[in-house]
Amino acid sequence: MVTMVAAQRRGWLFALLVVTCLLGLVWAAGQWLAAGRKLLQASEDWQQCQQLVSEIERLRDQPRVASLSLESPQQIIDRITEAQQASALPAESLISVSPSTPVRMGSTPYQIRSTELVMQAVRLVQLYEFATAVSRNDQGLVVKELVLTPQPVTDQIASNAAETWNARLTLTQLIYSPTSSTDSAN
Amino acid sequence: MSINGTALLYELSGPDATRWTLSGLQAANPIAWQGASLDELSAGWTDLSWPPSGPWRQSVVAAAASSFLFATFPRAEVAGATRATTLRYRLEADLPHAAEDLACDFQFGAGPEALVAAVAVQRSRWLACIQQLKLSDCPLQLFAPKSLLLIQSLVERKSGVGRTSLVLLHLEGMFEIVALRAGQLVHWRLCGQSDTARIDWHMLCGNFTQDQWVVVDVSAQPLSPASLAAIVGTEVLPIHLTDERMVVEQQIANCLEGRSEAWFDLSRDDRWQESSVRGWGVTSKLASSRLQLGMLVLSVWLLSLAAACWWRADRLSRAADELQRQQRTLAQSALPDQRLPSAVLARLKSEHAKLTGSRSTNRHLEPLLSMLPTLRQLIENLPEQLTISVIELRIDGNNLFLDVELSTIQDAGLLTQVLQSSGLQMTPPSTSAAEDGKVRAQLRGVRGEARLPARGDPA
Repeated sequence: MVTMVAAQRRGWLFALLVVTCLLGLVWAAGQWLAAGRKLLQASEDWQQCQQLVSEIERLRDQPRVASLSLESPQQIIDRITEAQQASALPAESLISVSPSTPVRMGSTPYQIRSTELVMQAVRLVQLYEFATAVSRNDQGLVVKELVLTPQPVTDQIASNAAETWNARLTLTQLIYSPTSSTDSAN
Repeated sequence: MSINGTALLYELSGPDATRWTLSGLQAANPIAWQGASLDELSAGWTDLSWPPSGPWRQSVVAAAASSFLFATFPRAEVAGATRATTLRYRLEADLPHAAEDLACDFQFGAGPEALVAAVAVQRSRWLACIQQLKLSDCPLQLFAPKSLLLIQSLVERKSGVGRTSLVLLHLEGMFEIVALRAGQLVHWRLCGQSDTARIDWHMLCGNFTQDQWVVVDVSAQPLSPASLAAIVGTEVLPIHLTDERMVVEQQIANCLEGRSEAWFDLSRDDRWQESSVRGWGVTSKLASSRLQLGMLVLSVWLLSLAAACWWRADRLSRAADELQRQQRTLAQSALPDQRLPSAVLARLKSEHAKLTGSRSTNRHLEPLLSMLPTLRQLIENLPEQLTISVIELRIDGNNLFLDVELSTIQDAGLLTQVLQSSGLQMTPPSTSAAEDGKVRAQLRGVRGEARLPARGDPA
């Protein structure tokens, strides 16, 4: 009977070995399936990555027409100041700078912010150069609107200079600003 | 049933402790081994290459008389019962073991004074051996006293022993007194000494006629006639059998092949199927060496499959990691100045979305139009020969509104024509009389291919 017990114990050990090997097989098969799924996902990601990189490189060659961030008020002031200097515009010719709150364009991922500049006694050439200097097409910043009215004659005679104008410029910036509720650019 | 592959466990008789031999039944092969006692068989399986492995597919145990217990009782006492379960408990009165520890077989007499003859063994002493035979795929087919098989063979062959006989059997210094009545065993006793045999013989011989007395001598040293006469009380011509084993094996073969049925076959007792160990069924099956070998082979096979699966998984995982590495390298080349997060694809999608959103190729985007090209085009193309007093100039992108004061109405048309020829798409001016005979004209135009604003549209 002692030997029978030893044989029984050996039998139970073998049974345990079978169960363990079976569990090992199940685990290994699970690893195989998981690795297969991982490879499939990696292949799809790789293809998508290649397409995206190709698109990114192509898009970078395209001219930008919208800014990716909203300019701060200080940045606006700095830009206007630089444009004034570049166009030799007297400081007193700039009457006011009125930036507005950005407004979303419908349900698109774009916002528009307008900044109104009121100027007086500016020559047309200076005005053109100022508008050119203050614009940043690659930042989506353009002078969209212009209202010119001639300066009164008495003021012109007093300035004894070329014809001057009063101008109201609207500096408009297009900003790409998607939210979860707006459509993406794609 | 074929006797091929039958392992015969044969107990050698002797005055000392008996020994067992293992051999093929009626086989030409030599004995596999001999010399073990039953206790040694029970305790030292592996030492004796036991249980039998190899060509055996069934087994037979032919034990000496000393292994058995014998009793008789009137059949009337058990009210005609024939079930071993019932009869076993009757044996408790005659045998020194409890009914639960007996494995037995019975022979039933006929007639009003019929007896029930029982041959039994102590179950606990034999259980390990019998179960081991079963687990070794060598199930027990016959378990019988070899001396009774011998005598049964002589009776069935009518070789000097009748169905009603009083037999003195001499084997290797031991005597067995066997009494048969109409083929039923009614007395069976093992006597170690001749005096005991003589006493037992004289107790029984009066119940048999002298022609029914039989002496069978199978010893290698047969008794002398004088010794026989001293036991039997008269001169009796003995039956000499020089090869007891051969006769017993022939009888066993007859039983296995269905030509005869052993008087007592303890393998028929279903108590061998039971076990005192709880859960013997599954546990005992697990002890089978063949099953264990099968489980080992299965384990190796499962392990090999698992190893193959794991190896394949490792290969696939490495390939996926390589693709991810290439993806990261490509993404880094597209975003050289940026630190990539772990979610490279998401970062690329974000970058792609930003570029698409900020580029002029975005079909959802209506680009802002600067007024500068329109202003430039206007300024460059104003006719110098005309005297123009600008009251108001408004430019919104490509749209132009000019409110001027001219000398004549023809000047308004001329101005419009000049601007039209410069590329601006002009609408016919609206004119009105101004002070001092001058003409006030309002002109609208669009630069490029944009839609002309209709009259009345806001400037």
